[in-house]
Amino acid sequence: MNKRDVFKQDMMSAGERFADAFSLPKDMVVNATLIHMIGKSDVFVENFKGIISYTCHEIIVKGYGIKFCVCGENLLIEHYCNDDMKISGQINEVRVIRET
Amino acid sequence: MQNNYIRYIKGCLIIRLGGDYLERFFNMCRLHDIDLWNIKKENETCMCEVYAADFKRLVPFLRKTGTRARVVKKSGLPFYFPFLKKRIIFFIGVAACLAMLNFVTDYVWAIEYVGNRQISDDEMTDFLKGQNIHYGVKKESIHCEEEEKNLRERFENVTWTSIYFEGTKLYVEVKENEKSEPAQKRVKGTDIVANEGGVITSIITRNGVPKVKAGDSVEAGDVLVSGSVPIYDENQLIADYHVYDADADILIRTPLRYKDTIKKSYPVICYTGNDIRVSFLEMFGRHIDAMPVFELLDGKKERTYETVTEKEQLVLLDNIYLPVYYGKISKKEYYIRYMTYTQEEMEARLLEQFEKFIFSLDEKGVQIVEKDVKIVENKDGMEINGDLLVIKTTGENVDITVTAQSEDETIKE
Repeated sequence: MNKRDVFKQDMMSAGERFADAFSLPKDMVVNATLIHMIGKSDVFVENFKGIISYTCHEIIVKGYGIKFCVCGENLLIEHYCNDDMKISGQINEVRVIRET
Repeated sequence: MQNNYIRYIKGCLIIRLGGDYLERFFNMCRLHDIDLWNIKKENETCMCEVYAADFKRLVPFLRKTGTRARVVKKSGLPFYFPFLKKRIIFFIGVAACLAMLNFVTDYVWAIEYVGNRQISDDEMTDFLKGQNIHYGVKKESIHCEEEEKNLRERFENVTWTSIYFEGTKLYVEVKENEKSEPAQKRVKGTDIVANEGGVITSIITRNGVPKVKAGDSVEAGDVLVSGSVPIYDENQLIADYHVYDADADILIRTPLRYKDTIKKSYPVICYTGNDIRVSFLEMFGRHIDAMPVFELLDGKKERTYETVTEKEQLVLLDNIYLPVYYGKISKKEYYIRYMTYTQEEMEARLLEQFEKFIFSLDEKGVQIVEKDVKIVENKDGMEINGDLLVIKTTGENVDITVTAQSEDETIKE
């Protein structure tokens, strides 16, 4: 076992390792948040808890174990429902904030 | 995610939200399965869209989060119904128009003939009328293939036919056999008889037996060339007759009378300048125009008008001919004034007519040998009497009668 694998094992939870081992989708197994970015103007989010903050320049979304921040101009929530949400606008940055 | 059509059918509201805890409000909506879309922050407020049916469900969350909501716009089909209700007459009219259009397109309102050169349009129309095909007949009642067959049977020179509809127009396409030789006439046998009495000046026979020679005097109806040609046996007796169509160029010198009269007074149409132009509409045989209004304004004066009617049929999309006609009626008021010719004018007119007559004779190849013309004045006006002696072609083919042939035989015997 090299140094990289040890680092990886420390970082990953048991669920993630299980999903890795059996090639299962992680969002199903460990209830991870799924973020698709389409081009530079659309972000599609699934499996999240809710919106923490919403302004024209920044949207902070709370996921499972993480928060992520979409920064840009003229941000618009094109669609917001129980299953998914879609953010569109001029996106400059998507930042992931780990929850300790 | 639902598409815009479903949103339109369900009906949606654009609402303006204001408050400090909008994010909490959105999250509560999400947890209770209330869809929101097009959420856009505008300064302190936020615009978003929600289904009309879900709006009432928002009330507890609005109260709980202290959010104010105001409906900015309503859109979608449920909000369109009151609009439809207000304009119900218009929509009934549209529906009635479509129903009417559907009804009239079941009938034939125009017939066009294509490709007929030898057969005239009138002949075709008569044939179709015989087959009970005319304007206003139901399309269903026309069996195109059967009619095509009937058309080919009726007109022998038609080699190909096609009857089809385009909209409300019936097309009758035919191809005629242009190269075909005229059908061989059955030789019945004809004689040439004189049309008028006179002296034969020349006779050139191509077919038949000449019965007269140049210089002979004949009466109208006399046989000039006989179509029955005798066949002689060895004893120079008539064994049989061969019957032909007699053919010959025969010139006859015959008198011809010319008479023409002219009255002193003659009518002239004078227009008063009172013109009436009205539009009209004709639907299902009913004529509508504004002419009765003019008549009413005019009183019960009897007036004479020269009427010109321009009529056009209403056509939709080039092919759907409707039983609706429109156009203009132009009426010009006139009265008749009687004028009188002078003696010189009458003479000039009579001579002009006579010259025309002579010219027409010339064109027909009639030679004028002598002419004696007298102009006489009578109580009504003037008359011209002309005695002409002309040389013209004569002869008319008539069928050989059996009696005529047997008479021939007896004479020979």
